[in-house]
Amino acid sequence: MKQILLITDGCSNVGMDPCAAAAHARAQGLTVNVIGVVDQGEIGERGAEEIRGIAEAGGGMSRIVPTALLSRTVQMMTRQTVVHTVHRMVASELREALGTDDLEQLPPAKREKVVQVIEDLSETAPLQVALLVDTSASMKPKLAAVETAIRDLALSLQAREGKSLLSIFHYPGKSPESPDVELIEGWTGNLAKLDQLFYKINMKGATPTGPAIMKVIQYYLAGSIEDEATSRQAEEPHGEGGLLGDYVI
Amino acid sequence: MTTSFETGPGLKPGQSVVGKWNRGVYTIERLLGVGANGFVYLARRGGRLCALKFGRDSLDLHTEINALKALGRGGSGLRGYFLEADDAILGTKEVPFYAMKYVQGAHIGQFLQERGPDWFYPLTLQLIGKLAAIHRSGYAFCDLKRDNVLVDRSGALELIDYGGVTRCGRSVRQFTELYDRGYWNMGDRKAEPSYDLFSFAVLCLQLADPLKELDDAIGVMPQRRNLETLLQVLGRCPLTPPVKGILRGILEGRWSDSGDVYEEWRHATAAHPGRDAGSRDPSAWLSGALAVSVLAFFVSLYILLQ
Repeated sequence: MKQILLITDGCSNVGMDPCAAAAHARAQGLTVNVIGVVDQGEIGERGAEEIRGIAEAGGGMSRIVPTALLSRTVQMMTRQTVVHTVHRMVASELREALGTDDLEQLPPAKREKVVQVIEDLSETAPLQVALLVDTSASMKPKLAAVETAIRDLALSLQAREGKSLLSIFHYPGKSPESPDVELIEGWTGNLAKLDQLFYKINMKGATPTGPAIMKVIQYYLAGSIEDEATSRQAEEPHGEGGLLGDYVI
Repeated sequence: MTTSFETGPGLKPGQSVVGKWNRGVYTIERLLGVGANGFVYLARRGGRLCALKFGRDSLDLHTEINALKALGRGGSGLRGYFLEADDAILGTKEVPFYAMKYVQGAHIGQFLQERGPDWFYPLTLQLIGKLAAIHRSGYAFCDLKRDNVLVDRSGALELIDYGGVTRCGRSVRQFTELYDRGYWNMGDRKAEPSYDLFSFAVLCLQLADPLKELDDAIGVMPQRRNLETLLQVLGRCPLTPPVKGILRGILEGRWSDSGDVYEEWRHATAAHPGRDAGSRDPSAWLSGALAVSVLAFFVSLYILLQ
């Protein structure tokens, strides 16, 4: 299961429509979740609209929360997205086996078993989460909270039975070669060794949300955000269909 | 597919809820509470009161129901807590819910405040007993916090909100930062007895700390989230040395079996029925306060007459 989690506090202002970029991600089998983080309700109507739109196009969910609730929200969303992805996978098998994918149509005893299977798969399926953090100027006071939330997410993912990997990006990038996005940490299961995630970040005003999402998709597919990258060595966890094959409902 | 109810089922007092599968009929009395994952109503079935829980997310609710059923089957002492699960037919929608025992009471913090610290040991002993019983069934409670521990007028303690209950060995899916050992950099978020024990120890500190520092812990700075801070709080708690020893051991991760902790706690608290000698009489600090105010009165009189 592959997710992109975008953490931002406002509107994109450079490059392609971020909702279209999220739709690309979805088409590639990635789910895009978005958290809008505010301190005193400064996300305008346009920003809120964009946050909702990106999540909708990316097949994920969105929330706008104060920094104090960031850690909790990051984890809740990641977990629920896993559960719902598994549920969607199981639902298609349910339709074949039982003629309905609606849990509420199943008698309680059968339902109990289905929920058990969903729960088992949610815990054991391999998971990858790419965190994409907006580091444009207005985000500066919130980055400490973002960092805490990321470490906290890593801690929760480490406890899963299934293999869990995180990668971290921020945008805009600081180098002229990569103005849209910059990789902070590639796929890792252990964030404990990192000292400071957002160290020496040059805060700029531009917010290229759409192009940044596209780069993350590229990273998922090719294992690199370099434009010339043609290598296809990205680690592919087991296909989702194969996972389900082990379970008989 | 799953259904989500951000706003809850919106039931009104007097409204009837009929179960689709078991045909149970409930009459809603009132909304008891809204939590992170659901809505709990007080309801009447026949002549008896019970509580009905509706989930925000039906899959989460079903997971909780599964855990409650499993706990009811095991020797967890939860027999009689979970009553039944069903789907309510509300207009054209079918909404899953479950019925449970209605527990009336105050949370453990309020209870101790109203009835005095003499209750600290009997209540914490009951609590560790409840946790140990859940662990014996192969589950962990995971979201232990002050608000989830209710005490009725007779002093009987009950855990409420089983939304976090998770099979041992799995990852914790619902927790509260203050009581989470991961938050304090003291371990991972795996559901296991030692995870609950850590929460238990933090709860004990929160309840016994005379400075009440942990009542406002969402604001604990990241660099203060460590064992030192907790041991500092433990140091000033008016608890007996053996009890402090157990709590210290739990915080340091040296206890893994809640049954052992229960036995130790029982011994430690049986030998020391009250608190430390200095504060045994609840009126002691009151007379102290009286002395201070009398003194203040004379000082002001003196200043006035100067």
